[in-house]
Amino acid sequence: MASNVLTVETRDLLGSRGSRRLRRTGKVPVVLYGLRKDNIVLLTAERALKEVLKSGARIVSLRWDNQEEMALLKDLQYDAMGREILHADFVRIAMDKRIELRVHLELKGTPVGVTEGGVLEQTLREVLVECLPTAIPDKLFADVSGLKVGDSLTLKGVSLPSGVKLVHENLDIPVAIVRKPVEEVAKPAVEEEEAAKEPEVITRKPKEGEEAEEEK
Amino acid sequence: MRLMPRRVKFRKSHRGRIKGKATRGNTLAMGEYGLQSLESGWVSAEELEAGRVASSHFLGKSGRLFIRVFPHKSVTAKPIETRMGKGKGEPAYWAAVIKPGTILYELTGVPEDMAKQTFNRIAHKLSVKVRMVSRSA
Repeated sequence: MASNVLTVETRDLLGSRGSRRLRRTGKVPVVLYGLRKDNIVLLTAERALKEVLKSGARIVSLRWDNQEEMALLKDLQYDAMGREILHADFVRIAMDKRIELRVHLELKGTPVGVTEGGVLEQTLREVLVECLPTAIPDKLFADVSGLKVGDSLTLKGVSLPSGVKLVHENLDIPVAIVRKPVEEVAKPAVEEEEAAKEPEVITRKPKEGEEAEEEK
Repeated sequence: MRLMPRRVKFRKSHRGRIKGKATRGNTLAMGEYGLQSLESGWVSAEELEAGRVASSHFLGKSGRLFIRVFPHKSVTAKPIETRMGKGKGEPAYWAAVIKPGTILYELTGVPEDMAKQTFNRIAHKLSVKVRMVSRSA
């Protein structure tokens, strides 16, 4: 598990207006909370934050004004286009306490069903696990090579490293399905005619006078 | 088959104004790759269907395409060579109201290069500018 250092600064600009001004200068507003201590509002350079994200680190060491705290990246807000980072949430962690976090799930192997013409669909891409901060896995893997067409793999089939526990209550949730290929069936002309019809209108019934006009 | 609501409260709707960017439906939900709109506009049911047909011709039985938008809005038009007035025209087609950032299609079960080619084919059928997005990016 990669660990990274992120240099941050304390900030005075608060709220949406202040945050917007910060973003214009290439900074990202950050908040640090947790472990029953006070919240601290911080800021960091967008480029530095992106580098940390690129490294894949989940536990980040935040440094500012001769202070250092270990934190877990809890949440990231992106703009509507999913391009720019708007805000980052960090939660303090104790290295000896177990934490809950979401970890990416990757499918391993080519299912038997896919070679027979099926389509592999991953229905769950992240799983909620509990582990010590020192034992956070980069990814979890599920072996799908044995799946035939119509088969599915549940959370029970996810291989977990030692010290990592699944938090999901229901372990029967499917994570991958090998679906039958859907064949395009030529539609009869009658359906095309039906499609051209207008949808049913749920409004008040027309008054008697209107009906009479329509009949004319 | 062209998409259209089954039941509506009113046959005709106001044109409306498309303001801002999409705050919902702007992230990938089902697929590995998606086609995101970069503009606002009305995407007609015909366009959506043309995109679906283009992708199914290219993909064949492989992969699965999801259409993330639905044409809820009826768009009216007046017959040609008609004088102005005499009320609003008759519904001509159904359209989905698109804001920048909206994910129009999603694709799963295919490698990235194939997804790229599929979305390229779909993009040619659409009246809005689009870009491909993926989970890894």
